Amino acid sequence: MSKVFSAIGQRVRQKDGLARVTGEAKFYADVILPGMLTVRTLRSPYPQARILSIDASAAEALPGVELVMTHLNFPKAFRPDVHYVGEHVASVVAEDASVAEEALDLIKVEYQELPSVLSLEEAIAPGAPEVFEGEPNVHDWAYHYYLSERDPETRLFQKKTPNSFTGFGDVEKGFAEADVIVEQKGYKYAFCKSPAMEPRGCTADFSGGRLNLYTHSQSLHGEKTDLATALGLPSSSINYIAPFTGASFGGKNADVNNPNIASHYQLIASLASIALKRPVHCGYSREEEMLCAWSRGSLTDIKLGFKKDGTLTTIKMDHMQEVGTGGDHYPPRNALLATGCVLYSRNCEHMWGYVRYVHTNRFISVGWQGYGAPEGHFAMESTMDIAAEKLGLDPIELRKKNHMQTGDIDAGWDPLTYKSAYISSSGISECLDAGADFFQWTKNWKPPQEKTGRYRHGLGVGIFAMGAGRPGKGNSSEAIVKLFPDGSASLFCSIADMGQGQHTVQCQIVAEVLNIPYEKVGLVCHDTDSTPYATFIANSCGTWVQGWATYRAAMGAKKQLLDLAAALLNAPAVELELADGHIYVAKDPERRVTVAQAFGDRGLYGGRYEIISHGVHNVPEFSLKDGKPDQVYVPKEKGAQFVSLVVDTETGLVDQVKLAMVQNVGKALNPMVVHGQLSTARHGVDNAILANDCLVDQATGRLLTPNLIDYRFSTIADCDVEAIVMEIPGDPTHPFGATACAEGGACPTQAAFANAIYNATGVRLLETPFTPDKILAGLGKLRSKKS
Amino acid sequence: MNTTQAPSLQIITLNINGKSRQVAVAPHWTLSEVLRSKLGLTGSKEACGEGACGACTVQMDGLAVLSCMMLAVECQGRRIETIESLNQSGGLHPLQEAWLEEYAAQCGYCSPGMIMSSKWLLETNPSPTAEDVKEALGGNICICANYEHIIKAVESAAVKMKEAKHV
Repeated sequence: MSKVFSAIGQRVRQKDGLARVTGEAKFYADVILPGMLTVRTLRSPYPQARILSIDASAAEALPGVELVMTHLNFPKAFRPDVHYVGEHVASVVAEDASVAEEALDLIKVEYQELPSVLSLEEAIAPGAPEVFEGEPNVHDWAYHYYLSERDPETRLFQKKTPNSFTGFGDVEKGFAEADVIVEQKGYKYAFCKSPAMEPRGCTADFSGGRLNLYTHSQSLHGEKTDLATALGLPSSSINYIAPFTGASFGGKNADVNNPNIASHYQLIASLASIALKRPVHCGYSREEEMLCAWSRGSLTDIKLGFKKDGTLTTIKMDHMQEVGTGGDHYPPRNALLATGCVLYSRNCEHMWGYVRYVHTNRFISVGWQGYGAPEGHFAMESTMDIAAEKLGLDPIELRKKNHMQTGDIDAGWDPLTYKSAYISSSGISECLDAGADFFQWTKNWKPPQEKTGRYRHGLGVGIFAMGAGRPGKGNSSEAIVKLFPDGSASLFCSIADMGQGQHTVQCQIVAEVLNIPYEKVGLVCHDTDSTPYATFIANSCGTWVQGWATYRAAMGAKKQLLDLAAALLNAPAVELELADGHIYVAKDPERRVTVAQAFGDRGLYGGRYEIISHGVHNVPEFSLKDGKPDQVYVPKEKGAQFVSLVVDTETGLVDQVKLAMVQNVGKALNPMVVHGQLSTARHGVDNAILANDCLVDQATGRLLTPNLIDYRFSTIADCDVEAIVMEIPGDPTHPFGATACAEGGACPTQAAFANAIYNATGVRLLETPFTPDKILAGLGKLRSKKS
Repeated sequence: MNTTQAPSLQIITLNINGKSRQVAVAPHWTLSEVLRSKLGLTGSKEACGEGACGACTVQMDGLAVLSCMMLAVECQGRRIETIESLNQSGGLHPLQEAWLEEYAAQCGYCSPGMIMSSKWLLETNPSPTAEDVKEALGGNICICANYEHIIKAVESAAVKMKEAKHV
């Protein structure tokens, strides 16, 4: 624990920061190629329709138009039916945007309008119109399982059986034996837009028989492979180039083979470039960006069974997740992270979790920052406060009694590849203490009955556990480290950095292992031609899954160097140290050679110019308890969030918001990166109090909030966030004891707000966003929309 | 080739980053479009195209303005400074140094606009309070929500710029 690090834990500068602050960073839209054509897209005015005919002849005849693309000539990229307002119907590829836009007006489309469903409630109603013909709107999550045969010693479950719900034990028995039962139905998290500063898009340049695709990315190699499959091109003929990504938080995930994931721009630009042999730029406007990548949107019922002393033994959660016209159908199960599956696995003996996803005609969805977990936590952590009041316990104490602790069981939040596992570290109690100290909880938390006056202060808390990398087989990452005679090194690594700092911390790992200054580590990360595969940046897995690969590559490079020096020093490599550009015998530091000397002679025609080391990390190696294949440690994001606010009981406005985000990260590889990641808790603030909701016109299905004015993200003035980084050492899953830090910030925010508003006013809000009308209705000062 | 556009282009002269640049523009082209597509100055980003996010902020006659909300033809005779002007002479501007030191960029897409708004602030108010910074940067969105770092960066740059003046 007392190891002194040279690069790890240091406040080093962002590895590619210089380009970002000078404007020299080339995001995809900054790549302007000679002869580049521009795309503009005609989008559906109907939420559900069949295209009967398209006449593009007038558009094609317009001077400056090079190509008009529809489902008739490019069936890979367009569908003959549309499922939301804004679905792409035709694209014009033209010399410039003005021509393309003029041409759009000349395309004649005849639609047959069909009935649609514009909310989760409509979609689940009996007899509702189908979003996709012949397919029900509501689907059970495909991987429900029942766990049994618990080992009394390890507490691990030894049997997993496919089932109609996810769980273990017997909830009916659990509720029968409970002293206190708390049930709350109808938690509703609004359908919200994934945040990203840079709207999605790409430029495709097919020349010399190869396709260069300039874009943003969460997984350069994975997305390239998808594109190659879709285009029928060999992987070797595509270079996927994404040196910078203007944020994503998960929402800009691309998979061109899935028409219900919003990466159509890649197919449109690539097919056009291949057809025209010219560079084609297809960048989304903000309005187009707003038509894709929504998420949240859930309806949750929950029932908890406690013993008199507050021990939480039984949990039942029924969770439905809106997925619009598409999206990833696996992650809604993240809602179960908040239950006895993970967050409250300590005392939970009986668990029943039912997860369904629901299609609507409201835009393309995709997961972002927690996908499912913030929704599940909203219901769970609000209900824990209701329970605390009923049990007569302090909300913090109730949580401390029940939250998972280090070594407790992860009862399969991700059951595809294992049954249950050990949670590698917790620290939630310490996080609760730190947040409580910050807001002086003991002194400042008073029950709502004691609040008077127009302006009422409230304090609220929520805890969280979020996945931090997929624990099962099939998850892997790679890195290459090159070491040069001058003692500098380069890391070749395609791990996506969307602002979360992976480029920086991976270079810190190299610097630490090779014991060289961080500034001497170069990074090659920009494209697939020059890097090995890296894991998909989602589920907060970079630090863990990529971290080991980078560590291993750097260790391999160091070993090669020491082996070279060992021959010169006539000493075993294990007895050598590497520091300050020298390799020396640890016990006799005068016996030393420079790094350059270790490389040997070099000349014009040859010699050793670089050491190359390749590192691979296949999960779950390094995470097995005592090397036992059926005993896996799984890391988690975990911590607590506190909200302090003031409610104006005359206007219903929430003001003076201060949020404390506390997370145990084990070891902060870079304190500034971690601090910045915790600040992204503001996305939950956006969802809570900035009226974030997918408002569509009920008559037409049109999005009423297609811009950054009507759909707001936090400005610098909306609230203050205090990021409190906890570093509790000892997590066994990482070479430096680090665990992830990225999505957790989004998880407990709605509950913390709802609990703080309740604490201020006595009004329990079950539906986000927490707008003034809902608060006033709760206070009896405004008639509720529902009554 | 392009018969719809060619006749309407006109040559204008823009004073950008201390240099006079001639460029052929259509009357409806915005300053941000001309800077980015015609003059190769892609440091200014365009994230909303309607003045709602601040990513395209440049300075015009010293004032911070949204280049997506200005027509290029309106900008003749005005002194335009973009993010590219800050390190023209080699070294970084104190704001850029502070941005790196305080980790004020996450994805970095908002940084050029945020830095230009901050530069205007420090030129008009060399000793801003945190509240002054919030007011000045209220029109620049950072969707990574990195505002605590940004406030610290502006405050630390202010101190360094004042010290430099007194030396």
